[in-house]
This record gives sequence, structure tokens and C-alpha cells, in this order.
Amino acid sequence: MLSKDIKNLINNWNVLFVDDEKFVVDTMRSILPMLFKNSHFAYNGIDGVNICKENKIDLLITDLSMPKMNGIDMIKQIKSFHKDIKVICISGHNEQEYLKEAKELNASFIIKPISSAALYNAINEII
Amino acid sequence: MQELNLLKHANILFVEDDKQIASIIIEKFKNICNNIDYCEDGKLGLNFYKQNHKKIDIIITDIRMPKLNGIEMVRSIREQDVDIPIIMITAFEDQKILKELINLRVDGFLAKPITIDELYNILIKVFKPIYYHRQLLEKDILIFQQSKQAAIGEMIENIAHQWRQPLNTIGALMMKLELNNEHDKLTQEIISQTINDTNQVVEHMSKTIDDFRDFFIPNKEKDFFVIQNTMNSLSYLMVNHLEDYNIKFIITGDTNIKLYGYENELKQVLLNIIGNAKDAIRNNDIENGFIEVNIEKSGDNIVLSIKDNAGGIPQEIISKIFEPYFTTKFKSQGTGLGLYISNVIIVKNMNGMLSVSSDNYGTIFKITLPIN
Repeated sequence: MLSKDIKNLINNWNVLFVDDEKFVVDTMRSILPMLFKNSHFAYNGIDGVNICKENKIDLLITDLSMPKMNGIDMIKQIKSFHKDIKVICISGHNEQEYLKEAKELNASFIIKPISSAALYNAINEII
Repeated sequence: MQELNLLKHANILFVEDDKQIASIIIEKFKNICNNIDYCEDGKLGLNFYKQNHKKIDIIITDIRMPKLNGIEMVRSIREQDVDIPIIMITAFEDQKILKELINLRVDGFLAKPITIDELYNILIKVFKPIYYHRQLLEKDILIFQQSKQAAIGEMIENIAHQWRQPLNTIGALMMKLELNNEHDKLTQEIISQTINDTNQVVEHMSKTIDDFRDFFIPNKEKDFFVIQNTMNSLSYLMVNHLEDYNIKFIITGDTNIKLYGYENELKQVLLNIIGNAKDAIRNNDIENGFIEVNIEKSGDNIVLSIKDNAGGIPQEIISKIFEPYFTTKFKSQGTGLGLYISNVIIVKNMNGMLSVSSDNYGTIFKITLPIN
């Protein structure tokens, strides 16, 4: 669960959610605005980087295995110009390699399938 | 020394009515061969053969014996098995029947009085090709088992892939209910919409598992099948996976052709070739990847062409791709058995042909199968 303080804190955040699965992104569109001030969405890493260039994003929540640019490469690029961005990765069980790299990038992560308990845990972790 | 070891795998039936000669030979060869069985006349020899023919590699027999002579015995054995090697021990007076023995496809002759060395040499000569052939067969079986395991591994990977996404979607849908509830926004409309969405995902997952199960039961008997149905079920298994990588999957041509053979084995071959194309498109970062399966009738054959735009197979390796254990993939991804086994299935099990052509643009695999 999230404490009242944390809820108030993230209520002022801009969040970016990146996933190549359209259905998951569409579901998140109706969820994230309840927790955050502004919610942005992208279906791939390239769009994710561009959104971060144009907006001040506080929290990036992203899938790791995606076509074109994978999640790790996207995080590296974004961190090159936005060092303080907080990152939560979502990844499958078989993506151990990604997880190691995500840890090195100071990201918190959620193992699929996603759930609110897992998301809250990850948010508590990065604060 | 090596040849001595070779006979260690040989099982011999020795038919001879002269017990004295027999005991000398058995004494000598029981340690050289894996096993030597002895019968003292043709009738016993034939009975022994009938009961134990699977365990006998070579028969050595005398000609003149009581009850049933060597020629009659060999004639009966040849009716059952034209291939089993037979060595005959002949005396001078048997010269007249030499022609008859040749017609019975006897594999070697020993003239009396026989020596241990002569017998030894002829056994080596006869057994050597059997031994090497057997070793090749064992290797084939091993490769087949390994490829089966690899195929199962690939299937599990496919199912895991197909399920991970819908499970994650269900997770997201549950979050939607939970958060709406926490924020007192849970309306009747959101509930029924979410139930609807979840049911769709569950149905999809259930269909996936059914499809994979059907896929993995091998066809025991040849049967008629329409290529359209084969392609549809294949397309259903792969389309999600391919869409994930933005790869277009197209089926063209005359899909109403009826074929006779092992449908699931053909599916295995197509899945393998399409899977390779998908990996190549992904590894080479092809932007608008596509895989096209074209089906055409050509005389008495059906030709399935699987075409991709993944950039082709380098000329220096294209001649090796059907060899066992050849792979360009990382160890965790490839076993090097997929195309080898595909070729075996098409050629040996379906009397067809599998060929490949490739340039800088892409690769075309052609499966040619007889329609009847």
C-alpha cells in the first residue's frame, strides 16, 4: 500500500508509461491518471525518449523487451540528459540479463504479470 | 586390434554337425564375438534362427548335415531375410553347387579344412559394413531424439511467450478494478467492461493451449489434409509472436490443395522455417519485415515457398544449413537441428524435396511435395 504522504507526493509527478502491448497501454491510460498529475504513454523506446525530451518526466515505467529500441537502451539514452529520472522496469521471468542491467541503472522492477501491489512496492522502493 | 573390438559387437549362429570342429571354433570365438550360438544340424539351425533372428548378425553353416542340409536351411532363411549375412563352409565336392549358393546370395565361402584365421578374416569382412551402418543408425536416432527435445523446448518457449502477455493484461485489468475502487470510481460500466475484457483474454489463452496440444500429438498415420487448414492453424500459433516484432505474415496462392501425408510433421517444418525467418528479421533489425508463404501446384507436385526479406544467408554457409548441429544462433537459442530434421521429414517421411535460395534481399525455402 501507499501511505498518504507518498500518494500526495506522486500526485504531483509526471509519469511516462512505455509498453509495446497496446492493450496494456490502453488499460494503463485509465489507471495512471488516478495516481499521477500527468500521464504520458508510448509504444516504443524511440517515442519514449522523445516524450522525455519534450516533457519533464519524474517517473518512467517501462517494459524492457520491445522492438526497435529495447527498454534498457531507452533508459540509458534518457538518463544521459535526465540524470534524476526515477525508473521502474516491467520484465518477464526469462529476462535475467535485462534485470541485471536494470539494477545497474538504479531502476526498480516489477516481474510480470503487473499488479497494483507490485507497482506500489516498486514506488515505495524508489522514493 | 581395432578389428578385434569390432567383432565384440557381433552375434553369430554357427551350424555344424562335426562336433569336434565346432567345439574348437566355439572355444576360439566365444571371447572374440559378443555371442556365438551353436546348432548341430540344419533343422535345429533353422528353428533357432526363426526364434532368435533379431539377435543374429551372421550365420556360418556347413552344407552336408543330417535332417536338413545347409542349402535347404539357407533357402528357408532367405525367404524370410534376404540381407542377413551367411558364410558357408564348403568341401571340394561342393564345387558343383557353387552356382546355386551364389544364387542364394551367400556372402562368403570357406573351403574345408577351415582355419581359425580364415574364419576370422571373413567374419571381419562381412561384419564391418554392418557395424558401421549400425553406428550411423544409432547416431540418427540420437539426433532425432535431440531434435525432438529441441522442438519441445521451442514449443514451451512459444507458449510462455504467448501467455506472458495475456497474463500481464489480466494483471493490468485487475489493477483497473482495484484503483477505481480505491478512488471510489468503480462504476457498473467499468465492472462489466473489465469482465468482458478479461473473458476475452482468458478465452484466447485457453485456445492457445489447445492449439499447442493438438500440434504436439504426432500423426501416427498418413491422412488427407487441406493445406488451407494447416496454414490457418499455423498462422494462429505464430501471428501474435510475429506481430510483437512488427513482422507481416502473408499466405498467398492456391490454398485449397489437398495433400496426403503427415500434417503435423509438415507444420513442424513450416514452424521451423518461419521461426528462423523471424529470428533473422529481428537480428538484422529489418524495419518492415515480412514472411510470405506461397502455395502453387506444379504438375503432380505442390510447391510451398517461404520467402522473407531478412537480408539472406551468406553464400559461404548456405551449403551447410541442412547439416546437423550447424547453427548461426547463440547456444541458448539454436541447436543446429531444426533444418536438418526438417529436411529429413520432407525427404524421408514425405517423399519430397527441401531447397533454399538466397540473395542480399532475403531467402526463399521451397518445399516440394507429391500431391498423391
